[in-house]
Amino acid sequence: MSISFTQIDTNPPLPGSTEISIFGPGIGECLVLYIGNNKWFIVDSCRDPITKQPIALVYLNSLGVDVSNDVLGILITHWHLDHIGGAFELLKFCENAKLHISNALMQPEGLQVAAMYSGRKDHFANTDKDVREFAEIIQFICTNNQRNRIVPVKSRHTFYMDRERNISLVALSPSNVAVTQSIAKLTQLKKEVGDPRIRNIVPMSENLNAVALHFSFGESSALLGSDLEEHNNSDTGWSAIFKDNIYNELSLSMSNFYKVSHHGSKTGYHDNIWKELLHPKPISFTTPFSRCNLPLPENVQKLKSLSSNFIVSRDPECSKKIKRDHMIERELSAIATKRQTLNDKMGHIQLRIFPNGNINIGKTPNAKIF
Amino acid sequence: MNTTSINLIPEEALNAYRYGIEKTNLSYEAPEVRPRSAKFQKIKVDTNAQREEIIQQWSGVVINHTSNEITVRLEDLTNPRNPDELITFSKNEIDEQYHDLIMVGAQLFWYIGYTQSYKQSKRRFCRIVFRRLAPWSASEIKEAEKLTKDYVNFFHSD
Repeated sequence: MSISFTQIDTNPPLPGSTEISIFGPGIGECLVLYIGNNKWFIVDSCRDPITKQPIALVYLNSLGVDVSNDVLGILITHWHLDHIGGAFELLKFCENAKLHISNALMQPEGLQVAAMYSGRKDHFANTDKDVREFAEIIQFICTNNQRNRIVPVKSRHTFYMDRERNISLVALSPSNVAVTQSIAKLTQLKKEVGDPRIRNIVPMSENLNAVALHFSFGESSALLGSDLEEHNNSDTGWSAIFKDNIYNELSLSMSNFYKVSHHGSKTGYHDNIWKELLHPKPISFTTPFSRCNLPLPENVQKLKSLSSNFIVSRDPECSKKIKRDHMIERELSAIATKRQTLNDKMGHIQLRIFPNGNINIGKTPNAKIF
Repeated sequence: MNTTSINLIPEEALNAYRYGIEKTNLSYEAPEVRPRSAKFQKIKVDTNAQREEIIQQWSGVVINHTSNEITVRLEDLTNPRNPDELITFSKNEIDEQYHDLIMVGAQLFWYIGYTQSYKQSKRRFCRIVFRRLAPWSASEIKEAEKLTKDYVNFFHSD
């Protein structure tokens, strides 16, 4: 097995190979998986900060992929804006794809949130993008009578299985308890008469309801951690995966690739991920999250020590300069006690794994290998 | 040039102008052809009025607030290619009329620019304005409840 670092390959992958492409941050995170036989699977969605198009569409179109036929599924691991942005457009263009979404959102409590914002053109139409993206999806499915295109997901769900070529994609989370907790939180988003009209913010606790994945291909496999966190509750987060013994139950192999969960944060870390779910020194990669400066330098140090290569889709330390009039800068600095630029430039890491085990890692110049 | 144009004013009217109606009193007053138009009323200049030139504007959403400070996420409306920024500042910077609107998710606009008037020299200004929006109405809630029922029937009926 050899690993080579190159630029992004703009040709489609070879039929027998596998690809894991990770995009971020843009305005979020997106993974594009090549599962062989010209078929693709998209995990999460975010928009290109310049064209505002869903990045998965931009990339697949650039490879010449027929997105209307060759994308088998779209998974929204959870409905934070950095993971759901542009999902409605993906659903429209990828006509053959099923949309997989957390089971909690498809319960009456989730549908009620969609109904509050469906088709509503008010002052927050441009800011409540996460809630409205979900509302648009539900309305589109209803209007076009395509109920069978939505698939509710919880742990143990199999998205794709090809026994002949040993390719599978399985959900490791959310646990039943996490789904129940999420439903309880959804009821809090319901509005009553007289409630102030504010920009809605999807609760941070939705990370415990995120869908982590095991992607198996031939002799190798990848653990795709989404934003799943660990809050020392054995019934939710990563602990639930170990408590429910999902790996043994589904006979899943240890992985040699890891999409580090929750942008490499401390709360996305669990000792047993590295002991029980991953081979020693895997190739790890993640996307940064500007608002919280993730991954922090101490997170990078730790992940670097545990991995053979740790790659972030965009250097978290890169320049965040803004071109602006000096007078504006002076005025802003006089008022602000703290300022932080949310650098949303898009980065891309492309892992291509060939049948002989060789790995080609392509990356954009702003991605960083630690 | 057509010389007949001089005769466009009736001779009788011209004579009345030259010699008076009775043809005895000489008048130098021009005949009133039409009433003065209201369009040409004299413009009054308000010397206290200020002229504003906005140099920079942002749209913002409150992300977090404590008893003293507020954190907002700003989206640059002047140069949309600029990335968003998180700014934390004292609540004292906000006009007291908006203090009851400060809550997570509240929307605001932030303007920086110059102001100048006839009596006042040019100076900088910085203004933060919160949007006062109508709360959720009974009809909106009722409409959403009906749609929820439709969705539940669509997705959960077998």
